[in-house]
Amino acid sequence: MSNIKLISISTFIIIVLAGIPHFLETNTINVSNYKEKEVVKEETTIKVSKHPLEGKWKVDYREEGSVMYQLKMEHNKLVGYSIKLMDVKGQFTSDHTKIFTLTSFINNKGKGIYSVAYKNKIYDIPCKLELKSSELYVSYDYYGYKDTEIWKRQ
Amino acid sequence: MIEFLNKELNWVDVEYWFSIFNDWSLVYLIIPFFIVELVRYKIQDRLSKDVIFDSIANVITLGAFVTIEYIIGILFATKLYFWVHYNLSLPHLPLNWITIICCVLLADFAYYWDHRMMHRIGIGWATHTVHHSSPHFNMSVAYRFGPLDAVFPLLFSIPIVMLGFDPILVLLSEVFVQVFQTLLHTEMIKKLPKPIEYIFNTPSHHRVHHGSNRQYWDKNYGGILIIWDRILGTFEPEVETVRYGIDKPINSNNPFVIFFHGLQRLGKKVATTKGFINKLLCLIKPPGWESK
Ligand SMILES: [Zn+2]
Ligand SMILES: [Zn+2]
Repeated sequence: MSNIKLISISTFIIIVLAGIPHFLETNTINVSNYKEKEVVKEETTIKVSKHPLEGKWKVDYREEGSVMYQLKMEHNKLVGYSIKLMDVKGQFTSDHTKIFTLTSFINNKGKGIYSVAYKNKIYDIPCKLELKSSELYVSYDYYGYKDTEIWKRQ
Repeated sequence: MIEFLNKELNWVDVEYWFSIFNDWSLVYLIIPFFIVELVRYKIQDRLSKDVIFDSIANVITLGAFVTIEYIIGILFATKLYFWVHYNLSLPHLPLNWITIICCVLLADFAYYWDHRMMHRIGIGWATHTVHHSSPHFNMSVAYRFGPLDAVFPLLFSIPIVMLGFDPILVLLSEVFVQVFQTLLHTEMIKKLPKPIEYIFNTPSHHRVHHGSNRQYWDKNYGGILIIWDRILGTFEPEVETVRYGIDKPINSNNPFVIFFHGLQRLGKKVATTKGFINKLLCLIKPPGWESK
């Protein structure tokens, strides 16, 4: 079989196998975008639309104190900053470190990249989100280092 | 149906399903199968010292392979996968059945080309010849690996990550293909029903792949599916009884000799070939290539 034939057949197979999931993904996103738009339309009459995760969130890290995060839209992306660090005694310091970027959020579930500091190094780890009324569950599993943080809306 | 296939899945569940086949099949399938094969050798009066030492050597090459795989993984492979995932990839795909099925099929297709390349370029054959050098054919032969066997699949899996698939899913799919392939190394299963033999790679097809009979050379490269070979012109059915091994046998059960014989033979060829370009060509031309 000629090389050109081998390459064309192979390219075709790859396009089909990678194309199917991408095609379905774009279609489902369109559906959910459409739904979101509808909701927004209804809400605009009452208030300006807002991403459901925007706002301030507080997380308790047991022995290590707690942190206040702020999630907000920046250049059409939802990003998060840690804005206040509190120790166990209640002393606090202000902060402005970018710690989070949202990659997807549909039907109260989503994914993002969470920057976690560990032993003076920052690790960008993929995380999953689930919004249950006023609590946001942020879970990650990074080479066996797993945890679920509960973010409480403030 | 589409809705079901499109439903977002949990990572924990997916890793669990994969582990049932990828990891646990060793306990519930492969080891019991190998024991039955040993019993069969005994009954047929073929249980020689050679088979036993060959099997032990196979497991030792597996140990060497796993060690190399881990070192590569820790040094740069996982970092490279994730870097590509976040910087050089199409939009990331959600985790659902469609994504998993397409990823396994792509990993299988990548395996076909990886395997074909290992047979058709000098440096590829230098490592893959180890797998083919056993004169026997049983489950333990599946674990007979060469020193660079962990390197070449990287070239083929990185493009899958670039297509938007999660690196971990790509890795799990590759192992899935490899484990399926492992199960084919047996003489105990003759031929399976026609439709299965038509679509899937089977012990019969893979026996042909291990044949040193001339018509069986460089045939049946597939992992899970044999249709890749049928489509790309490398399929050969099992007709004549297969003689296992390579055309220049190594006649040794020393794991060290087995593991390095391909590289050693290639090194010798490069050393005796004249001219720098020709020496380089030894690495990328097919194994039988000689400079004029
Ligand atoms: Zn092979
Ligand atoms: Zn094999």
